[in-house]
Amino acid sequence: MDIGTHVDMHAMMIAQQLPQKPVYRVKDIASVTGSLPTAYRKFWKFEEMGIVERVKRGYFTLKECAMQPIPVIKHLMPSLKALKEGRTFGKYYSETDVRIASQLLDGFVTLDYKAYELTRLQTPATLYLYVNSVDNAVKVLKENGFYEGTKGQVVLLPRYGDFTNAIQRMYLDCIAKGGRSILDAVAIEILYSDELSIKGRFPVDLIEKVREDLSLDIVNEPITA
Amino acid sequence: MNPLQREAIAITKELGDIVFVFAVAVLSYLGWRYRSTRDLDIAMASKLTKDQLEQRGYTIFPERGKEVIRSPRGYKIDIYTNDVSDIPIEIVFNTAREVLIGNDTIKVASLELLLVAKLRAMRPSRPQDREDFNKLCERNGKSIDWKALNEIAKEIEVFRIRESVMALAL
Repeated sequence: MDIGTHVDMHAMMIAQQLPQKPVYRVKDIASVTGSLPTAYRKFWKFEEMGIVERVKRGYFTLKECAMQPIPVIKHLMPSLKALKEGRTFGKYYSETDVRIASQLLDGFVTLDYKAYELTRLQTPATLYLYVNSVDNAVKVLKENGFYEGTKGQVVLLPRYGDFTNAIQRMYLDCIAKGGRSILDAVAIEILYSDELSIKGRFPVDLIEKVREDLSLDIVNEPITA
Repeated sequence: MNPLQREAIAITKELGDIVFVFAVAVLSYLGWRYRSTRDLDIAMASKLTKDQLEQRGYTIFPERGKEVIRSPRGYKIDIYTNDVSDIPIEIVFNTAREVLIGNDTIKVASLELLLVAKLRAMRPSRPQDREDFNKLCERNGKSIDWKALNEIAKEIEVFRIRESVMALAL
């Protein structure tokens, strides 16, 4: 499926020159582009590609995936678009929601819970679920007492892109999500390298940290979606 | 009670006066359901010798060229005895807060110290620090003791934290 969003090479070059900060303003982009109008145009491109998230008072956060090589970013576009359009739900706002939602809905589980199942690296928190019809899934959740909002531990994602290689898709989703999910992506790459035809680029010390954490010889308690 | 809470209580009983920094401290502020790996970082006022650790059931052995300490239950432990992200250990202890887990108490790094440590640790090879830092600003930004923060952070760090709280705090 053509997702209608393409990688803007120039915008990505600008994003890759931004200094690492917790939050940014458009004027930070202007310090790279040289003019505020160009900075705004690039910001809108970042937003369209899903590599930034608007927060409050004109600030935004930049996802780590912006630092990936351009050929990798091209493969991240379906995941970025799905995450941008993801809809969040909660009922009891606890782990119970995950259990209820996974009983009510069918779909492709990705990120936290799938990563935990595959790697046991990090405990999961949120159920991310690709569904065939988001509208139908929303209806089911609402009929069962779920509310839509910004908080919640159930996130419905529209299916964009290729799902034929489940581990590859999961891995790309983890890179696209950023933050702690990058650790999951590295763990998947270490454990399932043969299953991956597209691979991201990560710092060596990050790979070493994950490798160390994966070698923990402890009994992991099962946590299932 | 989740496994990390159980482990934090057990380690406190085995090692005495310690302060949890990073993972356990982050979970104590963000809720124990927040995502975490299974390595723990602790600050100790005085270093225990290898023999003292082994007497308490801890194992110390080389893994990939590094000396790794594991708890009796197999959790990897990093021990800080001088400083945590350049913050002297005395300050870590003096500013620590107590957290009640069931009938037990553990000590965790203060929110202000954690924010400074996370900010200083933030780099491309530690993507978890940016997410943890942003979540702490989002959910706990309004509880920051700015006077305490000013005492341990550099001016630019206070500015970065203030800016992040403005942008993210709920």
